[in-house]
Amino acid sequence: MFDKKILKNLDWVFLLLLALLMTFSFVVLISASGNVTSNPFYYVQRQAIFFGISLVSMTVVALFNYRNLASYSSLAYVVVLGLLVAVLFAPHPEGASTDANRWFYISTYQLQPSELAKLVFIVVLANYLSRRQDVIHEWRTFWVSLGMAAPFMFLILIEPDLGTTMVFGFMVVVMMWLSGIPRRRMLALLAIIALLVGFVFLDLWVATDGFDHMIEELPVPLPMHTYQLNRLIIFINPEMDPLKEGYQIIQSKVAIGSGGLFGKGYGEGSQVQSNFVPYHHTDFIFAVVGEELGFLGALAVLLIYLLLLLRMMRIANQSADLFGSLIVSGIVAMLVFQIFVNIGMTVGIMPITGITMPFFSYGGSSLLFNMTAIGLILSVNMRREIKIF
Amino acid sequence: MFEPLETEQEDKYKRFGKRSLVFVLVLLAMFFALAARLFALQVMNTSEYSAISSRNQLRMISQPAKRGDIYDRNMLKLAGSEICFEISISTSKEQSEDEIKELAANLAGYLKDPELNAETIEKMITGNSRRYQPVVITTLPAENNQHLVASLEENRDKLPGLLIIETPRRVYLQGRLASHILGQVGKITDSDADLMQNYNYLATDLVGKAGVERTMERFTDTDGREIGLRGQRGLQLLEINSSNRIVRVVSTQESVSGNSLVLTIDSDIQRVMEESLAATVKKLQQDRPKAQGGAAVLLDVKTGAVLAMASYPDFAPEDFISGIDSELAAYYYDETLKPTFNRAVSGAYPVGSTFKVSTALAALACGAIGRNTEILCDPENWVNDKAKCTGIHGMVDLSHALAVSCNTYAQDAGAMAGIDNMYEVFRQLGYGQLTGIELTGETRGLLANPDWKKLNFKGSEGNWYPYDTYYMSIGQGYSYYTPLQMAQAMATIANHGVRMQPHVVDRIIDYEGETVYQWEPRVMDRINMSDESWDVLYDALLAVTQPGGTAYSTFGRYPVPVAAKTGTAQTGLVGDDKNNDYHGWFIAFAPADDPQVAFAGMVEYGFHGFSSGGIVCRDVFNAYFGFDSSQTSTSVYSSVVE
Repeated sequence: MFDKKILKNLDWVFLLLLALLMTFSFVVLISASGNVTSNPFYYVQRQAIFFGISLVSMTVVALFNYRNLASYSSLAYVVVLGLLVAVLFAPHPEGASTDANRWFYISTYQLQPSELAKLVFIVVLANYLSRRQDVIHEWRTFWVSLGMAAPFMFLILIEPDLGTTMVFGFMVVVMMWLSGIPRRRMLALLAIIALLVGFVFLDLWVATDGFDHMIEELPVPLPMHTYQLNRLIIFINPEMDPLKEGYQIIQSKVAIGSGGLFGKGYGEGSQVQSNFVPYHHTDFIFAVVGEELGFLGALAVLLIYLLLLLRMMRIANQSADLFGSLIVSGIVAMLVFQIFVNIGMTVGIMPITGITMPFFSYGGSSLLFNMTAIGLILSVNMRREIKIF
Repeated sequence: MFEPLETEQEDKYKRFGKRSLVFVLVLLAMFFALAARLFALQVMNTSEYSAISSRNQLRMISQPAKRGDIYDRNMLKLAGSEICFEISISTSKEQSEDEIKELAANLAGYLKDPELNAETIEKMITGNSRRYQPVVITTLPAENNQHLVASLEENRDKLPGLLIIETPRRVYLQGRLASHILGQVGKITDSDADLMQNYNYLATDLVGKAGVERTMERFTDTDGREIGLRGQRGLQLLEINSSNRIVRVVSTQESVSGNSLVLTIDSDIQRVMEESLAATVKKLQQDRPKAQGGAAVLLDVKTGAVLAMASYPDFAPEDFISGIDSELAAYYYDETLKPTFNRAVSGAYPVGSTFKVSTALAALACGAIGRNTEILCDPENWVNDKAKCTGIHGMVDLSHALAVSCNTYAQDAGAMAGIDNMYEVFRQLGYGQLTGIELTGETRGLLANPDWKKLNFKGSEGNWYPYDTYYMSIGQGYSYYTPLQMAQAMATIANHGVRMQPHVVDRIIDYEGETVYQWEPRVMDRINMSDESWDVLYDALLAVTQPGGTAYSTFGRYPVPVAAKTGTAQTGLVGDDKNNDYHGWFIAFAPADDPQVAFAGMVEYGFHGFSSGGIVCRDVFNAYFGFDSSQTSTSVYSSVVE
């Protein structure tokens, strides 16, 4: 099944960029996680193990012909749906937070099925949209695409995990757009989303007297807990609750802002190293980059990300079939949105939603599935010459 | 290379290209937005944020809360805290090597600790990889060190970066007493690192690792208030200058002491039980080298309160606080001795003849036997794989059968009741289930039945055969139970079939001694049986300590009547000698006519019940009833064969 000739197709520039990104990531993690437990290398060691496992997963997926994935897509859809239902009832071990039902706990590890769901959904939707090219103009295609996403998004939303739900929304819109759904329908969809978001924020604007204090009474009740809504809007004005909900954002902005052009030096960020910024080895790891390596370091990270994503889009455009193009661009959509929301959160332009920084934040599931996504891209990349539209 | 040209397909390909261009533009816009924002923060407004950041040159120093004390039922303090001074140094990069050398020399001069010379201190300071955390040089008990601390304070200018924090240290005032119940505290390790994220611990905090120290660490009442031992850490906010030296104390948020526990344990009885168990094991060891461990439990039959619980060998909880040396480690991590293993709740064993009491109860409860039921104990009845008896007892009734520990009677009574009826009663007695006691490492043991056998064996080996019922009836076979379960079963029998949940914590009190939580006795199950049948069982248990009974030597002329049963259990372990390696068991309750306490005790490889658990039982009953041991010791020892 595997033809060694296709190895010639490998995009080495892409792999080089990835290697650069991972090196950067580990260097940052060593500084970011050194003060978290008594063993300064505890998290780095674990992340290295996760990375090893992830590399295996990436390689296996890359060697697998992505076209054969199409036949598993219905089954995978159902299985993942089952996992997303099951995780709502998964037991919490002693000592774990019971605020959310996002994880399966296996010994000291946590598995987040929504991470798997993102990848599976990309493949399933790419398969559907590429097969429906003849009737892409029909309303049915439009509605079925949305209908396929709805149960996933709903189940993840009630975990609750608003961030991942938003990632799904973004992916769906991007993939529908790229697959050729008529322009007007896409515009209408975006308009409706914009109206909804606008309405929610208007509602919250009134409830907080122009984002002056935390939510008191909502003019129109929303189906979410007040604490969730507070977290959603605190970034607009963290001074609404500077010691609790707004604390992370304020400290993160101070860390990044005080880093200046050149940064305070590797391992020398007083904000992160003295624990002023919470979760600086996971969700807020970008604050470490910003504070210790400065604007130049932060730009360097953005640049590597950007080049990597553009290289992915190149692979998408060179793909032998639309299925491959859509898989790769779906992954690009997933990554760019996560990068934007995560970094946006640390600099105070996006809400705190628990979305991690791809390839940077400490965490096994997310690294594993992001590397698996890279494997999918490589699989598409290597099989590009056989054009079978 | 020639590629087939299909216009329609090519169109789609072009459309993807065009549309992806739009997407790439969106993507670029997102990156541009981030870069612009970073530019605004880090280049345009960096001075503003730098100013805030330098104001943030505060160190948060955590002040550990005083951990709650632990008392026994008579308010004797078992565990408490001693105030110590933690001497640390916080340094900065700007300090030169010479400055650090000088600092170390100065500090060594004040401390005058031969183990902490200037060189050692210097190494500790320079070896600190995380310079944002102070290095702890030493911890001194407050008592006798007030002068030293005062002189350190006075000479701060010679000791830049000196930090003195009052910190409590766990002490166990009664030494090794009740070590398995108390458990121990220790540093947070990788395996419980999630505590820090979820419960606000710091890497340097001590947490309960076993026993009530662990289970009561963060006890939460029904209103969701955390009222456990740990208390709430205080925070001291220190301002430091650019070279990382402390300028002033900005604010101090006092720590809140943890609440204290009052246990159900009676230290006097506990001490007697531990000493007696240790002496008994050591004595048995002379003849039987394998006899190295044992356990015993004394329960209040009306409430389920644990009055004493011992496991041998034991440990000193304080050893685990400062870290143990290699000699201690060899003892604590010995695979056979397992001193930290609480045999009373974590050890599950075959219980031998002591189980005949439960079999008798089951047979009585379902009406299979009565006071006048007689069974023939004779080789002609030892058929169908029935285990032989130790003697030929002839026609025996229940009273005689328990007194001489007749295997034939127990096996036939079990078969007459049937496995399903028996299983139901055994379950009601609590066998094979967690008691839910507030201790760590409790095991369920195993209560076998036909369903269990089917699940765990293949094919015809999974069938439940008559001999399975026979063996189970005499406490052998697949099942094994913990000493606590045995005590619980005996207490339930003494309490007319009402099973109370065993517990060791009586109440939680705050620092003023006010009760903030009180445990209420909890009924777990009830066995319904006629008073007449209970009397039959009680009479039979009493016969065990009467002339001719296997425990006559132990409780023959005892001031209060004692209901008891002995056991000599085949270990069932590979490599053990089937005819020589037996666990010695003893269960009892007293007074037999108005039961107050129930006992279960065993010595691993102790052989006879009366000479192992029996001795511990008598010492413990002496302590409970306040009898002088010289009055109650008997001289009829050797005359009885079990």
